[in-house]
Order: sequence, then structure tokens, then C-alpha cells
Amino acid sequence: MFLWSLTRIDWGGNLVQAGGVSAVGEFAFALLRIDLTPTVVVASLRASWITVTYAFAGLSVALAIGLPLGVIGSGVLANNIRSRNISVVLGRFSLASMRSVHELVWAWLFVASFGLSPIAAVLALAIPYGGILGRIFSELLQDVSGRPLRVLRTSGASEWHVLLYGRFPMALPDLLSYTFYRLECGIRSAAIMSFIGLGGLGHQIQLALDDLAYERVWTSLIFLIVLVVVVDAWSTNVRRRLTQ
Amino acid sequence: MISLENVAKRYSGFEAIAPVSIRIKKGERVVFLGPTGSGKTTLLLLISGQLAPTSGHIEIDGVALKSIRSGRILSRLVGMIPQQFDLVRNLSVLHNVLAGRLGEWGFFRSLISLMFPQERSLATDALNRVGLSGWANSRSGNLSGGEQQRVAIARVLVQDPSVILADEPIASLDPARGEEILKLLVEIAGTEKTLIASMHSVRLASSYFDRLIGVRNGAVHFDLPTGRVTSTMLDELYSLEGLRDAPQSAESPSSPNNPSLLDVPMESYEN
Repeated sequence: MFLWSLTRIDWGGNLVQAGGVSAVGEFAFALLRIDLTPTVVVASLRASWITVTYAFAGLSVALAIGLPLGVIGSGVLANNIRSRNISVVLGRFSLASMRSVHELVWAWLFVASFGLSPIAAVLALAIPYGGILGRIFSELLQDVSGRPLRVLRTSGASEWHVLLYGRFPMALPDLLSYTFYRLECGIRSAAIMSFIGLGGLGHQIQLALDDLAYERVWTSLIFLIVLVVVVDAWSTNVRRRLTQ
Repeated sequence: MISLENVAKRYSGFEAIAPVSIRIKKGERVVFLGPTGSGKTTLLLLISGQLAPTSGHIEIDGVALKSIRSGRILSRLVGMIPQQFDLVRNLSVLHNVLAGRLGEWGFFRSLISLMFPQERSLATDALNRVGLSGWANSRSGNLSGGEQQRVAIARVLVQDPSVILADEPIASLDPARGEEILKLLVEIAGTEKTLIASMHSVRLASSYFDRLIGVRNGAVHFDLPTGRVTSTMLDELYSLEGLRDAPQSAESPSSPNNPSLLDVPMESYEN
């Protein structure tokens, strides 16, 4: 299927545009001349801060959307097959419609309605990410092993109790590590989103590219990589503390 | 008082329990004895309400199990210590013990309890009784098998049902620890609570229980006070000759064709 799809793409006559190879070389060599002058570093730090705050705010709203919808979409609170099916269909449908539109399209929509405001950036991240988180959460909550849950029920626990005392704690390491993974993606997306003028690392990259100042592009890229690595290390740390 | 009248359980054609009738008086200490796959666990699951019988009638303290629609009422009648203890590993010992109170708590109280443990003294007392004082804040998954077994017992203690069921309570413990656990079970059951366990060890069953019910091929083979069980009866009970091969699923507590009260989640009555 994948190989077949490769043969169906119209690759065009010349794959690399004229002068493309030398541009790539120039860009790669710029890493050796990476711009670490104080003004550029301070600007990148400031831009990183903006990107990180967008990513955190977006993820927080995404969690507030994804968690309840994930629970609904998992159907674990339903008390018979019929209401379970209704819950799953409703939850999954709303989650699917939120995540089927890319964050850049949401950004474009929100910028059109709110103007270039931070709300536009945060909502543009939160809606598709809420859809993705909710979908994964619903599966993780469904997949929790049945035996400890059954024991909780023999202690008189309702399905709400089972959710609080069984499903959430048992799925927590996976829920958290997926949320952290999404936070990484959120940082990347927030950077891209700033290309449309919302400020942040992406905006810095765009300004540098406009000046063909590849050494400044690298400064921003390095900051982006560091952010993702830091979130990754944080996630590993939190997960380890939870499971030991 | 527990009464099983002509109770049978079939799983997709396999007769796990042939129609059996058993009466157990309040405060009795009873062991279901028998080879693997004989139906001991199925009997316990039936009495605990986790499985619904295919036919027959089960009553505890005059209440028919099939008439119970609320987990709270069931939890006051019967509590179970499962074979694998089945604790929620990522929760602290304290919360696993307090889970025994969920039948009495509404949603908000249970939610608050995760941050500010409610009825903590009840749980601390139970942990003291099972010899785990000072362990309240440990992560349950980090405990040894014997310690997890004690946590499961402490949970039943705070649940405070009138019947305590213990499925193979010593199967995964070394002999010394196994004996400690049996002593503890007998002690917490006292004279007020009925204690029913399934076991393999004839010696330990005889030392700690009043009545032995031999279960073979899903039927009651003998049902006698401990002193009257002879070695011939035990030899017959465990004889490989004529012993059926039970399918694995026979001991599994859920079957799509026979949903029980606990397979189909019930409405929360306290919210």
C-alpha cells in the first residue's frame, strides 16, 4: 500500500530546484557559524518562553477538553450496553471532529475571528490536541485490566468509584507519558504557529530566513531541540517516580 | 446464614457446578477443598455475587442475591479476598484499604478522599490488625505477596461484610506466612462473621476451620465437620481417576452469556 502510494505521486520533472543543493549546503555550514551573540540569544530565550507558554496553555485547555470527552468516549461509566454505545459514539464523534482539522487551519480560523491574539494560538492548539488526547485516553481507560476493578465493585464501588480508584490510577503512567509526548508536539506546533505572526521561536526563524541569516535560524532551532529534550527528560522522571 | 439451593453453573456447555445445595450458618468457618478445576473458585464467585448461577437460588442473611441491585447492599453482605489480591498497584496502601469503604461513600467524598483521606483512623486500625502499621503511604505495587495479601484483608476489614470469602488465601505464600494469614483470617472473622475459604492444604484446613466441604467435578463430594473427614475420603477426593479436565475459562468470573450483577455495572445509588 505504502509502496503503491509512492508510485502514484507526481514527483514532477526535477526533484530538486536549481541551486537547491548549494542552499542546503550553505544552511548546513551555517551551523558552524551559529549566532550566539547576546542579543540573539536573549531574543531566542524570549521567543522560547512565548512558545513554551503557548504550548502549556494549549495543552492545559486540551486536557480540560480531552479528559471528560475521553471518559465519555470510553463508555466506562455507562451501566448498560445501550448507554455505553451512545456514550462511545457521541464521545468518539466529537473527538474525531476536533482532531480531523489541523491546528494550522484552526489557527487560521481563529486569527480570522479573534485577530492576532494569544487566544487564537491557544485555542488553535487546544482543540485538535484535546481531540487527540481524548481519543487516546478513552482507549487507555478501556484497556485497564479487569480483575482489580472487579474487586473494587465487590467492595460496593459504583462505576464512578471504579474510574477514580481503579481506572485512573492504573492508567496514570500511560496517560501522563502520552500527555507529555503531546506537550512535546505542542511545543513544535506552537513554534510553527508563530509563523503566522503570533510571536515565538517560529517567528524568529521566519525573520532569520527572510534575512537568509542561517546562523540565526540555527540558534532558534537549537533552542527548540533543547525544549523538546527537557520535556522528554521531565516526562521520564515523572513516570519513574509514579511507578517505583 | 448462607443458603445455596440447587445452584448450578454452566459455561458454554461445560457444567462447572452441578446442582448443589449447601447451608452455612452464621459464624461458621468453612473450607472448600478439592483438586484444581473442581469448582471451588466458581462456588466462591457465585456466593460473592460476581457470577450469576445458571439455575438455582442463593440467599445470604435471608436476601436473595439476584434481587440485589445495589453494590452497597451486596458489599455489606459479602466481601472477597481474591487469589491474586488484585490491588490497584499505583495507589497507596491506605487508598487500597479505604476502597473497602467505597460502597458507603458518594462520588465527592471518594474524590476528596484521594487528596485528604477520609475515615483514616478506620484504615489505620485495620492496618494495625493485619500487622502493617506504618505502611499506609507505601505504593501497593512495591509490597511483597504476603504484604499485599494483608492489605486485601485490611480492605475487607474496613468493608465489614457479614461473610468473608477467601480464594486460595495461602496459595502464593510460603508455609510459615500461609499459616500466619490463616490465623489472621480466623481472628478477624471472630464469632460474628462467616468465613469461607477455598484451599488445597488438608492439614491447614483441618487446623483452622470447623467444616470441610470436598468439591470434585463441580459436585459436593463430602460435607462434614473437620474431625469426621477420613483419609479415605480425601484420597477419593483427589483421586485422578475419573477427574474431569476443566477448561481454563471455568474459573474465569465473567461470561457474556451469564452476566452477573457485577459484570454489568450498576447505577450509583449514592450520587
